[in-house]
Amino acid sequence: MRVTNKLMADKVNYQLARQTELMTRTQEKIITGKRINRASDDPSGMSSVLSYRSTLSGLEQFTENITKGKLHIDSVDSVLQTTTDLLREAKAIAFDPAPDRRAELAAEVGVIRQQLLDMANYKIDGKYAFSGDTTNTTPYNSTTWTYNGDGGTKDMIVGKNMNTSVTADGRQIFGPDGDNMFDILNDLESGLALDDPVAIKSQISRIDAAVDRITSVRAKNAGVNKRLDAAENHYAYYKNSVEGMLSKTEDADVAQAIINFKVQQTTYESTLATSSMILQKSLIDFLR
Amino acid sequence: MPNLYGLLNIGQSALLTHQKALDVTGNNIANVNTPGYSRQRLVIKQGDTVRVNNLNMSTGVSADPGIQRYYDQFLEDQLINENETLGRWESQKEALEKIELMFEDAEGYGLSTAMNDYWNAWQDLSNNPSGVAERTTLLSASQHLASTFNQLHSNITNLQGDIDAHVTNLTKEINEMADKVAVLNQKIVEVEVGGHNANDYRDERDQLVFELSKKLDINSYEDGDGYLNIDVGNGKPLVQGTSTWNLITQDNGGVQDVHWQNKDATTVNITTSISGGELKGWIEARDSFLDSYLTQLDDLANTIRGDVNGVHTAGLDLNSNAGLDFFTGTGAVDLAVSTFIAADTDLIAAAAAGEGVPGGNGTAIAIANLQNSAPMAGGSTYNEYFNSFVGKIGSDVQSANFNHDHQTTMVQSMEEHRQEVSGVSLDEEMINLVKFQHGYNAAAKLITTANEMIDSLMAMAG
Repeated sequence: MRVTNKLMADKVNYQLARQTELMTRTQEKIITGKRINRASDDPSGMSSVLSYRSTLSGLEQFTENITKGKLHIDSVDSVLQTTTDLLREAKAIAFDPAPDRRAELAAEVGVIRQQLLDMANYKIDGKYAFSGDTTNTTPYNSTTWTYNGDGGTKDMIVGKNMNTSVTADGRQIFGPDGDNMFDILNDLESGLALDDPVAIKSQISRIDAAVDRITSVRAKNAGVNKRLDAAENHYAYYKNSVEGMLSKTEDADVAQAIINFKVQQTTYESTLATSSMILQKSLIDFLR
Repeated sequence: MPNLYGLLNIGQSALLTHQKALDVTGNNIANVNTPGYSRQRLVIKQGDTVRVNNLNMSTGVSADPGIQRYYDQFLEDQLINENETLGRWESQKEALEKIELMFEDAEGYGLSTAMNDYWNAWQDLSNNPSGVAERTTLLSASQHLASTFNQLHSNITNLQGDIDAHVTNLTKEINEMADKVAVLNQKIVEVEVGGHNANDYRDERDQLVFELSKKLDINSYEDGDGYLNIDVGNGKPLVQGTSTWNLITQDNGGVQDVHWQNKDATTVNITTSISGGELKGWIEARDSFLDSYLTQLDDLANTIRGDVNGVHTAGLDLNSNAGLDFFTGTGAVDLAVSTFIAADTDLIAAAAAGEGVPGGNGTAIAIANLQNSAPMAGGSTYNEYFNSFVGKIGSDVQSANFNHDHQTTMVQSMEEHRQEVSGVSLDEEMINLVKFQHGYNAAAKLITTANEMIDSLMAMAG
């Protein structure tokens, strides 16, 4: 091989440029801590990274939905707990414990009814919880005692194509119009006012039915709550593993990168050192 | 019979020849770093022997007027071919790397994130269908999604515009180089008709052709007179002898096509016949890659618009009216949130038909669940489609990079081969310098000796 001066210089240039480029790439990995800094670094890896990120973003959103859903169910449950307690008080009165104080008890029933109305018209986050989808329509009022909402449910997204719902229809919770808990208390109140022990006692079974209805709604809600808990736990676990995959895919092995950098640096420096020796000397130095 | 004056003549020819040889050596040394320079050598031969009176009489040394140029036509042709390919990958790599930057999602600010945010905003709305904050968030997420589409689209079309400018500039440069080749053609033929070698002009012409080959694929051949003829794009002449033809660009539906212009000003579109060089790289990036990216982007924008509108118009807004088209536009370029919805977020339909308002969230749920549907080509979701789209861009860049690196090494190693043949080695030249200097000194001594002999003769005659 005939080696000429320009060839040597060109080769040194080319090698130094290549080494510098390699070092820059490795340094970028060390600085960003990422193995994939642009799509062309690893096209299929980049696709996976984007898809992991979407999954993570979806999981965070599902978790948020679940948190809000659980908050709603908790609030509903405490309202229904209070409602049940109030109905139990009414039931105690329906046993007609003090026939001589019926007028007094009738007034008490009126108070309980008002408290039940407050419960049925309970607002969560400014919206009626028991008027179906018409969340700004007052479900019950004290003149007609009939339901004004619709049959809508409170729906939520809890996973990929997974929706769940809890009852928001007042009729399904507080009883159908004509036989709702207000009607029962109205009948109880009028029985007390009219001193009609039969009418009074006949409300006991109706109140039991109303309590049963609420208990079954609460049981259903508790079931939903349990599913939400399970999903939440699953997401927390799933999120962890996706984050692990994401890190595995896009994060650089910094220790490895630093070692690579050292190797490249050594190559670069030895290229420089040998080049300076080769390029300096020629026959000119010896022809004096 | 030897002749004293003949001795003087021999000395003179040796002096002149060695001086010329030193001249050539000096020129080689001077051009040690000149790109495209081929080393030269003086062809020295013995002077013709003259027979006088049955005796041989030497006439010294003489140099061929044509100075030899170390040069390998085969290598040169190969280098031109490889250089065409290098130019193509170089410009393609440059164009695609710019695109890759625009789809930069490694930091999570791109379209993928915008889509995630958009679907999540619908889920937020489903949690609280009448919430003003949720509606406003959804509106801004939608506007961000639309403007990200717009931005990507205009980035790509802007790049196509930049490429057009490159293409136009390249054709101008090609025309100028063609003119220079024609001028050199004339000079070379003028010099060589006198028996000399126009080495410097040839080096210059070869270097021009080499540079030209990086800009577009050419077919070049030298005719018997020494004219270098160049054809481009399917046999259209660019240079023939001393005449040249021009390449021009003409608008074709928003992009610049390359045309070959005949002497009678008629033009022929040669865009698709260009198969190498930077021109090919730019045109390929513009017409194949960028165009397909635009199509994919439009596909995604249109499918999202159509699907969301389909569900949204079947829903009910806060006033219990049927939903409007949520997005307007005809593609990624003008995707926008309905101006009515942008002005009044109550018009966002969260409830499904038959549901009550404001608590109904059937439509919000249905739209949020669209992200899991698989309406795109190959049965993929919007996100999957976009993710593989980014992957496609990445692998396009990767292969352009790979091809470019490979081709650079290829050209580099062929250049080394060329240097082996044509390059100047200072060591060699120094040896030649010493050699010819000694020859020159000896010739001078010869003349001195002849002079002394003549002196002695003259003294005898005196």
